[in-house]
Amino acid sequence: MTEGIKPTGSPILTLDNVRKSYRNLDALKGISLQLFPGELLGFFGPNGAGKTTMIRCISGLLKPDSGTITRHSLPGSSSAEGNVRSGLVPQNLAIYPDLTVLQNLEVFGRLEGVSGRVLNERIKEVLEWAALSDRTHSLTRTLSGGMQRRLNIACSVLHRPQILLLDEPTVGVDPQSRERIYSMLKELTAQGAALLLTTHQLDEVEMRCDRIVVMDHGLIVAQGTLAELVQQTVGRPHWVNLRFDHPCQMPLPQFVFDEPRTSATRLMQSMQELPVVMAVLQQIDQQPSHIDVRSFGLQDVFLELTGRSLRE
Amino acid sequence: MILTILRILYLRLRNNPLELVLVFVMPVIFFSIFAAIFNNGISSGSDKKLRVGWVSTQSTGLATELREFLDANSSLECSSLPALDPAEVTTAEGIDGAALAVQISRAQQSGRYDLIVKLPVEFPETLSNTGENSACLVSLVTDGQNPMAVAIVTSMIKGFFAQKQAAVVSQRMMQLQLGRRALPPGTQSQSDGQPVAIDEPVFFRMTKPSAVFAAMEESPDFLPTQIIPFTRKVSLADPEILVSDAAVTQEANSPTDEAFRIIAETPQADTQENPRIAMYAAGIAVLFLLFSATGHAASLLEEAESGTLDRILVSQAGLFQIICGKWLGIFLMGCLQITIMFLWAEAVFHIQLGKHFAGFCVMTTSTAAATASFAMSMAMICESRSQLNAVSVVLILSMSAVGGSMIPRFVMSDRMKDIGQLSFSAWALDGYQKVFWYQSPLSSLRDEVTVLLGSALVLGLFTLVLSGRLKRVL
Repeated sequence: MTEGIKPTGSPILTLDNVRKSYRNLDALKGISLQLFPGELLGFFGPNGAGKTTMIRCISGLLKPDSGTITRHSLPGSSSAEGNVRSGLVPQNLAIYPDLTVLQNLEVFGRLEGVSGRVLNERIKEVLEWAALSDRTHSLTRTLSGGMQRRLNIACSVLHRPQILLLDEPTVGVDPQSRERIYSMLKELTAQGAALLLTTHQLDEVEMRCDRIVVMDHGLIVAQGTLAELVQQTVGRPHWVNLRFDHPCQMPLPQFVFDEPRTSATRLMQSMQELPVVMAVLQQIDQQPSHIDVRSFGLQDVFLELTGRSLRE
Repeated sequence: MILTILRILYLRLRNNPLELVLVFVMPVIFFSIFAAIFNNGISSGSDKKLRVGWVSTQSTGLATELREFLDANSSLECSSLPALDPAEVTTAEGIDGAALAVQISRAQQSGRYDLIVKLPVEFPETLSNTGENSACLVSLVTDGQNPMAVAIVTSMIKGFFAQKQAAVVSQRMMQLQLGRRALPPGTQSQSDGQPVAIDEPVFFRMTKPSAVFAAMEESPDFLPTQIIPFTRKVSLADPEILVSDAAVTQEANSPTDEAFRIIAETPQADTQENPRIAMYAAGIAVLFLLFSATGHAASLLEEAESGTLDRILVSQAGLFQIICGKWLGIFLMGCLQITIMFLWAEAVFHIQLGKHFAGFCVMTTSTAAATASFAMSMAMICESRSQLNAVSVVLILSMSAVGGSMIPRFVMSDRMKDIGQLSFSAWALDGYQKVFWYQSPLSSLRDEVTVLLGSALVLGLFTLVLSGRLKRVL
């Protein structure tokens, strides 16, 4: 995960107790959150948690049953409140396969109100940004999966959105393309855009997102940085297990022994605690035969929060 | 392994109701439609009759007999043309002039007559009363849609005159022979010992009775067979008679020895070249227009499925603009498609597009508008592209079958024609027919244009109302 950036400044988007139901299903049961400029907010949750419904509500495709979604104009911006530019990168390839790369960019740029010389300049920038300059005139259907994904994103940024909603933008792409996509997203956040991303890729959320929101059953069950989530759920971020060939008779502070005291476990706030533990063991002349150390990640947080039962 | 492959095929078919419908139900539906068309209409067991219109300015005895003869024929459905509004009949021109032409033209455009029998003012009281250099004239006015109608009715009228001729000649011959040879009254006369049947309905080459009488007056031994031999002695049911059109092709007003003359008139063909091709062009164009329109409308469902629609909706384009843009695209594509078809027909088959350009434009824009709305509404009703494909195939082929794109509407029964009116294919083709075949004025397209544009409006509004569901996909 990137540095645990705490959101600062004024939010560009605020959701307040947003609810949405489909017939007998409560898809969103009161979602509240804020999105800040320059932030990459990762939405994580099992299938059917309500992530896509939330993105559709934010994008305006769905009207919430109750609650408010407010887009805030930035200080010094000419945009009126509620007129903040936003873009959507749908989960599927929402581009025209029988148009060329250039033609796709042109039509989506025009749909966003960009035209003329400005559009041409933006297209040139975006082609370089997405590393598609050499495929400008290729039919989209002839591109590789990774290229199509990059074009899918590129089509949504021609109007320089202040909020970009990405619904699983890296599905089905190879590691190189994924790396390229995240470097593209990082450039966008560096320019001040606020990105809201849903994904099933744990490593992506852990490594790429500034903040993480975990959703389940239409509710936000936790949000914050990874460290904060671990703190909120598991307690401490590291776990150490000592195994002995013979039962350890000496007490070890903060360790929990199993019977017959050949294995001891404890949580650590920091890895710096491990040398201290080793020093204590040396003092009491108890050398473990094996030492396992593990840092908790989002998977642990996720399973802790959502349980292990299968979902839809 | 082969069994497993077969099982996969079976399971896929079983799990796909639409494909099942296409494979097993569609053929039955189409069989039923075509059976209904060719079996003279739904729930009708009788043979299709030729519908003959009758217009006669004089009620002479011979005209009345001809009408009764036609009425008595079970294969004809003979009826008088609807009368004109009295205000439309100008006394200066009379019913036999322009007003009669209007009356006939309207009757033809109604599509209710395969052929119209027109008797002129000078139609005689009896067959014996024909003038020295004129024939007993019968006009068969046809719009050319049913090419068999003229041949069939011609042969029937020839049969009528043959009977009349035989009766007149035999009666007079017997009178003469009884007077000169004192033969006893009977049904036979003698010529060189050969009996001549005089009461048998036979096909004569039609020579005026007056010529026969004159010959008999000059030579007491004269028999018609001596100078005017029977060219044929055939039954009226002989198919050969159907192609006997010598009388039809002769000029109407030339001096003639023949007792009667049948003239076939096709007013529409007199002033243009290949007008019938225009109908085929329209029929095929409308059929493919429907398919291409639904194909383009299906792109909306594709966009909804792929998420492209979501992206567009999030952009500055609203749903109304998207729907209108799609509709306009399909409309323009339809206009272009029909225009190309007619331009090709003009270039290769010499239909007169330029001459009927205004009517063509009116019908093409109306048809394309209705088609665009139909396709868009279909896209709104269906959940997916595959569903739309299946439903559109069923609907379009059905509409085209009963609407006249596949089978000319003149072969259909009135009931099938009425059913065809439920499809706008029929209205479109009727409109093109009026423009290219009947050469009707633009005002005559009022009904067709009203129905087509009305359909376009209603289905367009229906599309807009249902379009909200596109947002709820997922």
